Amino acid sequence: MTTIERTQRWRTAFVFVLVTSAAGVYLERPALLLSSAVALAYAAYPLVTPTPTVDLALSRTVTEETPAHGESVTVTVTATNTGTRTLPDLRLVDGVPTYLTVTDGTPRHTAALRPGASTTFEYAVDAKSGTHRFEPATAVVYDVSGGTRIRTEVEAGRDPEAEMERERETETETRGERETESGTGATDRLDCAVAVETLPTRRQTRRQTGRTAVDASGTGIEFYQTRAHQPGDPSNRIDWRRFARTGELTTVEFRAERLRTVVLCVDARASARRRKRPGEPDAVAYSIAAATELLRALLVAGERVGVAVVGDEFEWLAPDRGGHHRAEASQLLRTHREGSSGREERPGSTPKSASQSQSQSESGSQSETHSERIQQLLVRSQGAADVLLLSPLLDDFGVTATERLEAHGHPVTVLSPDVTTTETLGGELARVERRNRVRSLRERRVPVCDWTPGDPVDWQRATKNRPGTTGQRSEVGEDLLGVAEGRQEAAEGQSSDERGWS
Amino acid sequence: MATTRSQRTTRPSYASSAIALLAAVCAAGLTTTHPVQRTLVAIEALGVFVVLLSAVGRQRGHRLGGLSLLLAGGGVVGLALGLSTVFPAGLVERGALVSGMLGPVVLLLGLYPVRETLTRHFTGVGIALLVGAIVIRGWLQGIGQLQLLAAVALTLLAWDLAEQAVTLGRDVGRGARTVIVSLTHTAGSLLVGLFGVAVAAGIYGVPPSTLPLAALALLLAGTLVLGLALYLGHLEQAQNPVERL
Repeated sequence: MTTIERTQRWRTAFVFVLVTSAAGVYLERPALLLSSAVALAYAAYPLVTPTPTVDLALSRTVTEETPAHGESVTVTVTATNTGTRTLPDLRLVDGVPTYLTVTDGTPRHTAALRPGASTTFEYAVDAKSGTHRFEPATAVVYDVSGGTRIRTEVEAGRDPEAEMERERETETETRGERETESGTGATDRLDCAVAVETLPTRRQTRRQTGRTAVDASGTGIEFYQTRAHQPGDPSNRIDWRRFARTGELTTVEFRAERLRTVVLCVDARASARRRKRPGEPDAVAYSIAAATELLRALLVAGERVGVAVVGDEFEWLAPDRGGHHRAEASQLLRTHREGSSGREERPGSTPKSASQSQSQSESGSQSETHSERIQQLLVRSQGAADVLLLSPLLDDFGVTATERLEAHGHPVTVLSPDVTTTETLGGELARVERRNRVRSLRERRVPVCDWTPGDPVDWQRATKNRPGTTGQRSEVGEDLLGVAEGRQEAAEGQSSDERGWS
Repeated sequence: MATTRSQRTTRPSYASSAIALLAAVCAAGLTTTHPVQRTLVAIEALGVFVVLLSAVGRQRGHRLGGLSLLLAGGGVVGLALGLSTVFPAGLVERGALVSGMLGPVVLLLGLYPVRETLTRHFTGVGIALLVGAIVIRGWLQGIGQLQLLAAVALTLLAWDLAEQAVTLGRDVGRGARTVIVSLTHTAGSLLVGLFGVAVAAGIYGVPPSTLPLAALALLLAGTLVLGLALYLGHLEQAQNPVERL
């Protein structure tokens, strides 16, 4: 939207004219009276200056579109005057994403642009986990007299070269891979993906064929075990080499691959929207960033993934697979990134630190609605489903939810972004409370990844780092590791077998 | 940290402030009649720019250097002002000099700024002091016609650039480069000033007519009313800002 307004800057010139002419007449000094002609010329100045038309093209490039957490990214912005009039006084403020702070240079720039001329400026931001969208740049143009002010917003990406490049890319790439790309051409966001090193341990699968190897025999391609032949076993499963050697009939079994359903449950309640310090992303933003990456990883692994967002309302996307589902799920997550009050909650305005979270003061009705939400989750994820709960664990919601879900037979894995701080006393209290919750969850043998944003998400390492809890978790860990090692050995065994058969 | 920085960046921009102060000091210099007075204004100008430089230094993190520059500049300005109050003989003459020399200093207080919320008040008072000096000088007839016209033009230029510095500070802050924009704006305003001076000098050169001063004043009043009418029509759009989607 463009607004044009008069600044009334030269109103002063009229006062000047009145003062000098009055003094000239009163004191009978023609020279003084005449000097008001100069002021009169200034008073007429804004009346004769034409109002410029703002026609700007903006292109924005970054040194790294997918930076790591904490990495410094240089943003280069080029503005071109595509209109026919000179812009004598252009002031540009680039739309830096909400959660990113400028570390070097300034996103504010001024220039005087002739038609066709362009100006470039750059600044550096520190990347933080999550997807950060650039907002349109704000352009303020004054006419040469300063009497007219035009304010408008300029979207980036009308750069013709970038446009061409995009078209070329679109031709070569398939639609499915590009679904997450927006159509503006130039950079309109920074994707600071959360590194996921290990996926949470699988604990329950459906009795349907999928791609997740489980500790059971069935139809598959990987060797699992041999057992004594039973009447009715298919003849092509009989180990004929062994029969030739020993005269015993044995049956070879393969590892079953089953379908797994995971529900990503994001805690996006207002009480979870805490941040370490003003200007930083809050816990929900981090959870969403991690959930987006986990969603991608799980879908790539061929799982069925559902999404549940426990916020002001309970939102649910039934488990499914495929590109469309992924787009839908990403969209659902993205809408919750900044919450309903995200816009107003600019850094500095309402800084809620982790210490302000009051775990015990939740009213009865609130906890009631939360348990209702968990109930809804239980009802909707009927059948076997792993639940991956992403919560900062700043109140008892995460623990209660886990208890209920586990009680109903849904194995829960927890990913908890740590937004507590030791800078204040309250922050330290929140940190201790959170640590206790993590411990109590681990005592219930719930795998918890105590995730410091910026580090990779890794359930195994997170537990290894804490010697006190290794014993509790080792069973699950070993379980997984055991299976993995078993798989490897089995695979080697099978390949040697295959060699033998040929 | 973030908040203090953002507070600091809305202060008047340096380039426009420097040009505004230069114009103000020149205007003050033009309202002087004696070489000693001119020397005083020159000393004051030195102090004023040292103080502005201290603001630059402090923003770039040289706290100690900035503070010492501020003290030195402040001392020089104080010295010049003190001398101006004792030097000229007559009270009116002294008033003109003090008023002319206080103008740039008050402008500096606004642009430094002493207090951000008072910037516009300070610049207004600074310009008013310069106008006062010009009126007294015009009354005393101590300076030439062209000198007076140039002083008026420079005073208005100082006002314009002070405003430019304030709006630039609000829009882009002190971190951004504003030299080109400030110079472009200065060039435009300076041209208008030169045009005004040329017209006024041209009128002054016309041989004296039999027209009485009152008639001339009425003529000027008529022009002024016409100008105001045009200006108000121009402003109407400010009340109803044009919005385009």
